[in-house]
Amino acid sequence: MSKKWLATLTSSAAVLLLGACASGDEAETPATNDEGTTEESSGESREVLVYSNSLAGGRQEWIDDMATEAGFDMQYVEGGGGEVLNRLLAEANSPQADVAFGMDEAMFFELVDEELLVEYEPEWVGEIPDDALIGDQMFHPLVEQRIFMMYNPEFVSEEEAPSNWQDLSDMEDFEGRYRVPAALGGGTDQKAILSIILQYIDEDGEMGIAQEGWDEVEQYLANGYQTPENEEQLQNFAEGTIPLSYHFLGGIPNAEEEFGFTAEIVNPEQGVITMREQIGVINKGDDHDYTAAQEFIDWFGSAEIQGAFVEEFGGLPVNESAVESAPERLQEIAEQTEPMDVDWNFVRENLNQWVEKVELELMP
Amino acid sequence: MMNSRYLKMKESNLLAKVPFYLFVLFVAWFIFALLIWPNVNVLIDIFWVDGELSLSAFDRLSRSNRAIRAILNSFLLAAVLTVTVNIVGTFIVLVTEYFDVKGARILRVGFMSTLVFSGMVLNNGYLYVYGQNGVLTNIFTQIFPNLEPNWFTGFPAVLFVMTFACTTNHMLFFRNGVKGLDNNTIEAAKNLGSSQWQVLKDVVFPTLFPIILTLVIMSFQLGLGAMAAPIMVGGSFETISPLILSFTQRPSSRDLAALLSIILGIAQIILLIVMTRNEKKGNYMSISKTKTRVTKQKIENKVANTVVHILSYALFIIYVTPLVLVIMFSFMNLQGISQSTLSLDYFTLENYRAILTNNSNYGPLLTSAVYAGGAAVLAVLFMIMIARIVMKNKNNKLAEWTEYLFYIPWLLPGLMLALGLIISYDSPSFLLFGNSVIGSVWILPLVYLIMMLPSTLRYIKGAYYSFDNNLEDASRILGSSPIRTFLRIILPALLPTALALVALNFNNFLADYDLSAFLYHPAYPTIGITIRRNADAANNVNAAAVNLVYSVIIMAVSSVMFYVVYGRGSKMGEKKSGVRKSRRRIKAPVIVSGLGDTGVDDPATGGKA
Repeated sequence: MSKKWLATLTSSAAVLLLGACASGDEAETPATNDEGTTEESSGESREVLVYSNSLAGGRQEWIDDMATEAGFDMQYVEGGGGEVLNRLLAEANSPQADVAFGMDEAMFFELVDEELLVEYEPEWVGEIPDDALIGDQMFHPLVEQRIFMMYNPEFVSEEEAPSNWQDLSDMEDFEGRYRVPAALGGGTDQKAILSIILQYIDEDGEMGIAQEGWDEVEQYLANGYQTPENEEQLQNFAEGTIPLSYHFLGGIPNAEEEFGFTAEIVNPEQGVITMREQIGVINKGDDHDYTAAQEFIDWFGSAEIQGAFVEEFGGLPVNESAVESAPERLQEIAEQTEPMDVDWNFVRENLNQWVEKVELELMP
Repeated sequence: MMNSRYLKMKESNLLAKVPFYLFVLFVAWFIFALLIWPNVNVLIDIFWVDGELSLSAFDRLSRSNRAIRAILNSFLLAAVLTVTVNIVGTFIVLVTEYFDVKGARILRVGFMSTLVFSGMVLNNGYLYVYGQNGVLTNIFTQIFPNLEPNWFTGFPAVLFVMTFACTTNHMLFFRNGVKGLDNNTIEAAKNLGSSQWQVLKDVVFPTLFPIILTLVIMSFQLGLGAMAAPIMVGGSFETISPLILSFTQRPSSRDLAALLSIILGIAQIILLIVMTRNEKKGNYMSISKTKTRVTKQKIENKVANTVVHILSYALFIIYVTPLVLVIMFSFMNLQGISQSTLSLDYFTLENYRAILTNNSNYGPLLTSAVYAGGAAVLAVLFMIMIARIVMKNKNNKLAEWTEYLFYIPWLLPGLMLALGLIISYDSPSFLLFGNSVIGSVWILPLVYLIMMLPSTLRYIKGAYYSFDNNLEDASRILGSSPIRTFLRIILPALLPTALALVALNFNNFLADYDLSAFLYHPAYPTIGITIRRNADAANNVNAAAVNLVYSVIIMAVSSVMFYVVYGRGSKMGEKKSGVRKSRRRIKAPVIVSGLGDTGVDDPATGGKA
C-alpha cells in the first residue's frame, strides 16, 4: 500500500521512457533505409522525403494518395517557407530531404549558394515559358503567385482607388484605413514592402535602395493599419473598415467566397510582384542515387498532376499545358496584372537586411 | 525487515558511492555536451563572421528606437508584473488554502484554470470580454456612449491580462507550500496572542520564503518574456520577445536575437543570484517534529471577511469568464468568431466533427504527449537529483557552479539551443557516443527537456528548503542506503512539487510549434505541426475557427493530464510525505476538502483507528 504511489510514478515514467525509446527504434529504421535502398531505388519502393511549405490544407493528403498510386513511398517535413528553409540550411552538413518544393526563387537561390541542390532537368521543362527558367537547372518552377494591392469597390470608387503603392500614404481619406504588414515573417507581407522598395533601386543608396524609397516605406507604414492578431484582415476588408489591402493570387477565390466580397485588383505601371514556387533535388553527396527524387519531380511537375493539383487547391501553374485547369477567377486576375520584372538574385542578396531594417527602424 | 536494513548499513561505504560517482560523471558530461558545447558553437557561428568577431548587432540595435523601446517595455512589464502577480497570486492561494472562505473548492478550480488556459487562446478569451465587441465593452458603451470601443489596449491591458494569466505558478507551488505548513507553529503563535496578520507575517511568509523568492524570479521572467499578451492586446505597446522570435528565424538576424536574449537572460540570472544570496543562510523549517496539516483560518474581522469574500468571487469571475467564452466561441462558425458575436445562428459542430473524426490528428497528439511527458518526467527526476547534490553541498563552490550552469537555457531562445545542437552534432560525434542529432527522433524531446531544466531546478530547490533533514538522518541511521533514503523519504516529500512540475512542463510543450517545425522527425509529426497544417491562415480561411477548436481540445487533454498526474498523484504522495493530520488531536476543526482539491482525506487519523 505504501509503495503504491511510487509504483505508479515509476511505472508511468517507465512507460513514457519505453514509449520514447520504442518510437526511437522504429523511427531510425526509415532513416537507415535511406542509405540501404540505394541499390534499387528505381524498383517498387521509391522513397522520397519531401521538405515543403506547400502541404497545408489537405495538400499533403492529396499528394500522398496520388504519389502512392504512382509508386512512391513518401515522407514529409512541413512548415512555413522560412522554417523549411532554415531547417534545410541547418541540416546542410547532413541533408535529410530528397526533394524540396514550394519556396520561392529567392529561397532556392539561397539553397544554391549553400550547394544544397543538384542539377536536374525535368521531363516537363519544355512546357515552362523560357523567362520562368531562372534556376540554371538547379530548380524549376511549379506554381505562380502574384502579390497585389486590392480594394473593395463597395467602399472605394475607381477614381479614389490608388494606382500604385506609393499613393496609399498620401490618401487623406484613407489614412489608417489601408492594411500594412504588422510583421514581416510571412512571404506575402515581405512582398508588400518589396513592391515599394524595388521601385527605388539605387546602387549608391543604403542596401541598394535610394533614401526616397526608405522614406516612402516609412510613410506607408506610418499611415496604414496594422491588423492586430485578434482581428481578421479579410473581415475588415469585406466590412469596409479597411477597404484597401493586399493579397496573394492563390488565396483570392476562397477569401472572396468565405467573406463575400469581390476585390478589384490594382495593376501599377511597374506590374505586380510575381514569384514562382520552385522544386529541386537536394544534394546528398556525389555517390547518392537520385533516381527516386528525379522521378518524383518528373511526376509531380507534369501537366497532368499540376493540372489536377490546382483544380483541387487553386493556384496558377507555370506549366503552360496545365494553365487551363486553374480556376477562372485566377486566370482573370492573371490577365489583369502584369508580372513585375524582378532581379531575384539582387533581392536574395539583400532581402534579409531590408527586412531587418524595416523591422528595426521603419516600423512604427 | 529491520534486520536486513541493518545489514545493509554495514556494506562497504565505497561501493555505495559508486552510483554517486557515476552520476557525477553523467552530470559533467551532460553539462558539457548538451549545455555548454552547443551554445558556445552557436554563439561562435553567429558572432564570428568571416574570421572575425562581429559586433555590429550592438550598433544595429542601438539605431533602432523600436527595439530599444521594446526592451524598456519588457523590463517595465517585468517589474510591475512581479508586484501585481505576486499580490494576486498570494491572495488567491490564501483564500483557497489558508483562510476559511466559502466555496473555496469552486474558487480553486477557477483560479487553477490558467494552468491549461494560457497563451494566445487565453488572450482571445480576454478579448471576448474586454475587446472591441467584447461582452463588457458592449455593456460599457451603453452606459458611456463616448467610450472608445478599442479601450482595452496598451500597457494597462497587457498588465491586466498577465496579472491573472501568470498566477499559475502560485496556484501550484505557493499552494503546495501553504499546504505543507505546520499547523502547530500557527497554533503556537496564536496561543501566544498573535493576531491573524502577525501569524501571516511572522510565521507563514517566513517559512515560505524560498518559494516566494522563486515566484518573484519566475514572475519577473514571465514579464520579460511576454509574448502572447503584447501581440494580442498590446496595440502599440510592444515587447521584445516577438522581435527575438522573428530575428531567430532569419539567419542573418540571429546575432540580434542572441544579443537581445542574452540581455534578458543575464537580467534574469542577476536577479536570481541577488535574490538567492541569502537564501542559504536561512532555515525555513518549522520547529516541531511532527507536522500537522494546516487548519483553515476563519477571518475574525467581519468587515475584512466580507471584503475578502467579495474580492475572491470578483477574481473568480475575471478568471472564468474568458474561458467560458472561449469554449462557447469554439462552437461558432467563422462569421461568429470573426465578428465576436455569440448567436445560435452561428452555432456549428462542424469544426469539432472535422477534427475529431480526422484520424491523422491522433498519432501526432500521441507523439506530442510522449515527447512532452517523457521530457517532463525525466527533467523533474534529473533536477531532483541535482538539487539534492546542490543542497547537500551548500558551501561547495563546485556545486554552486553546477547549479548556475543548469540555468544556461535561460540565456538563449529555444530555437537557438536547437540550432546549437544541430551545428555541434550534425555528424556522428564522440561526445554523443557516435550519434548524430540530425534525423533522429530524440532531438526534439531532448530540446524540450533542456528547456525545462532551469525553472524545474529552481522550483525543486525551493521545495527542498522546506524538507525536514531530520527525516533523512533518521532513515540513514535506521540503515537505509542513500538511494533507498532518496526514494522512500525524500522523493515523497518533494512529490507535490515534482508532480506539479511534470504537469506544468508537459502542458508548456504539448502544443509546441516553433521547435517542432525545426526538429521533428518526418515519421513523427507533433500536434503543433498538424494544427498548423489544418489551420494555416494562408491556406484556410476558416483557420481562426479551426484553431479555436484545437485550442479547446488541447486544453481538455492538458486538464486530464493535470488531474491525473498532479491531482491524483499528489493525493497519493501526501500520504507518505510525513505530514500528519492533527495526530495530537488538536481541537481546531479540520476542514476536509475533497474533489478537484488535491487535499488529503485524512489517511492518518482514519487509518489509525
